[in-house]
Amino acid sequence: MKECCRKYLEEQFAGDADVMAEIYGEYVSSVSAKVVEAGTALASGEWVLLDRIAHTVKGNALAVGDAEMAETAIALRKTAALKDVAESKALIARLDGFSKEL
Amino acid sequence: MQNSKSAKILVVDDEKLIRLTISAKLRKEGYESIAAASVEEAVSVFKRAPTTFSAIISDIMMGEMDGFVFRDIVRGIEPKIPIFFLTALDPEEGGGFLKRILEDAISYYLPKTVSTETLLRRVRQVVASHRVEMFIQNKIDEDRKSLELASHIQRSLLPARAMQTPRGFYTTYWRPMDIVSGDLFEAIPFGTGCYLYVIGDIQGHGTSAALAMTAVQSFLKNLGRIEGAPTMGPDTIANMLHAFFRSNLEDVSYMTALICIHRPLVGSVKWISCGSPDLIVADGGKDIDVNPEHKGGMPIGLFKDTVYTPKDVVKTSLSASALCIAYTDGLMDLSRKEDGVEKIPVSLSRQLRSELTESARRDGTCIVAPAKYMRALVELGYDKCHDDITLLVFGATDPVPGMYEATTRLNPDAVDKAAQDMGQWCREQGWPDEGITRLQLVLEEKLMNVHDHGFDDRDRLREVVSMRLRRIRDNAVLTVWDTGSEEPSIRVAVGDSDTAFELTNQNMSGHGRGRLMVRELCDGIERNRYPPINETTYHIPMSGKDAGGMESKVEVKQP
Repeated sequence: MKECCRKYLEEQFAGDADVMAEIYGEYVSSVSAKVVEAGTALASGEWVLLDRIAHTVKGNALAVGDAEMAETAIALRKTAALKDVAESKALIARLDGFSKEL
Repeated sequence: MQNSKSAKILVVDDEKLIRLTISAKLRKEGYESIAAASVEEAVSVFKRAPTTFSAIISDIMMGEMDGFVFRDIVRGIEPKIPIFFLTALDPEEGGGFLKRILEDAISYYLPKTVSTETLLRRVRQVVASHRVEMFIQNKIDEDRKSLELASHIQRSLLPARAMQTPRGFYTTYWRPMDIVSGDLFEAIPFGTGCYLYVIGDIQGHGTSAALAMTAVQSFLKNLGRIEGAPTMGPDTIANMLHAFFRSNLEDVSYMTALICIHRPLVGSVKWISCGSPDLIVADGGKDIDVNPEHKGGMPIGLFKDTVYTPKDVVKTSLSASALCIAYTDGLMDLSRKEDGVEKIPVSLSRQLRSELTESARRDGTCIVAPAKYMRALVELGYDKCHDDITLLVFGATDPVPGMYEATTRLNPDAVDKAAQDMGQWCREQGWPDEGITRLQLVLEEKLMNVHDHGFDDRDRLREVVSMRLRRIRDNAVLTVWDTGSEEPSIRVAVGDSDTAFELTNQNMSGHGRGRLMVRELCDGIERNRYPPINETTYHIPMSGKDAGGMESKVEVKQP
């Protein structure tokens, strides 16, 4: 479990290991899926969808205390708003990297 | 008071992770959490048992329907349930979502980064506050239901709203300030052609005054059954009421009252004021000074040693056209403003009274005079009620030549008799049989219509209907007054277009049993309202009516 998430979830759920494991497991699988969806949305130029996906990733990351993931998702929303393909692609790659480290 | 273990929270988010996180946090505090993954699912869950939820925590951005659409749906089901909007949106991102959340007084914003501690504290506070509010609201609803039942009981103890006999008539307006009333009136046949009228105002408002009212009303109902009662004077009756008060209601309240014995055959009224406004006698549109010596006594039940004597009684001679007006002081408390200021000036009430009493005798509208008076006040803006109101008008029956007036109860036998009596009067006037039959059909249809409507309303089972009939050229003009609701059922606002007005007319004319037949029998129907009185006037041709060839003209006048 990513260290920052472990600390955050321990604080939130008083160290309840079962709850922490369930929530973190859901986070890992949801972020992985969302990163794939983000890549597809970018490839097809669906900027609104990309913004929505980034918003979801941000929400999920905040829910488990994953600050760097949340910050990257916020940045992706901004590049999606500007329809900046190159920056968006880079940020999705960064999200993908983070998700693989989870 | 708050017990989170019994509180159920609906969590709505299309992200499983958020549902898991929030639910886990809520369970930690002992809340029962029900999760829904979409607005559709949440609505379905909520609709099944809306009152079992203590709060909702919802995301804003969710698929096709967002959190605000969900809120609109929820508000249509449970207007008071608190809704937390838990969102990853940043207030600085724009979109006005924070403003939209705060548009609703019981919606709250929570960031998705909210700590468990903060989330639970906010939920705890809001749910506790919601529970207190619901508890109070339930108590208010229960009290209101009890009061409404009490109101029905009170109304059932009152005599008929109006009555006409060959010798005299009375008519009333009775309106509680808020559901139940501390005002009372009673009309008791008191010897041949005579009536005892009592109008009273129990000190105070609300339940205690209403209970005292019902006790006094029951006492008065029995008074008429006492042997030799018609030989009593108003002072004796006042003493009996005083004794009743001192024995039974001493600690509850006291009552101002006006007790009148009306003897239309000899043209007099004997009356005593026990702390109440004096009887007003109006004749030819002018008030008569009936109590120059300021006779009267103290309120009933106020002082232990009060004794009413014949010296307190006023005897007033009445002409056949005189109208006697008794009222409780709530009438004078009507005002233009909620805070009670701008009450009716005495000069204005006198002027209105003068106009109404004069026209009442001239036009045969005595029976609707109290309601007309009240409507006139409302039209002048004096519609803020600060006390219970009772208004009683009585006098001798003084028929206008060529005009038939009657009041009838509404059981089928009485309806038959009313139609027969009216037919008999018409024959005496030499009206054609064909027209009389038509007139009787219209009257019977109208009365049975009112009667049938009364079956689902216990207050209306005691309904009386008043009628006035006159001949204008080839038409019989029949006006019927029955009791409707306190408020106009259909409102036509000032400035409504003619089209809207016509539509309203059509709607109103479409109401009622037997309406098609009545419309075919009439040249025209006019409707008017003096809340709570409905006035319907039928123009019925006395001869030569072609039922299929004449269009019914329906006109509605609204206050």
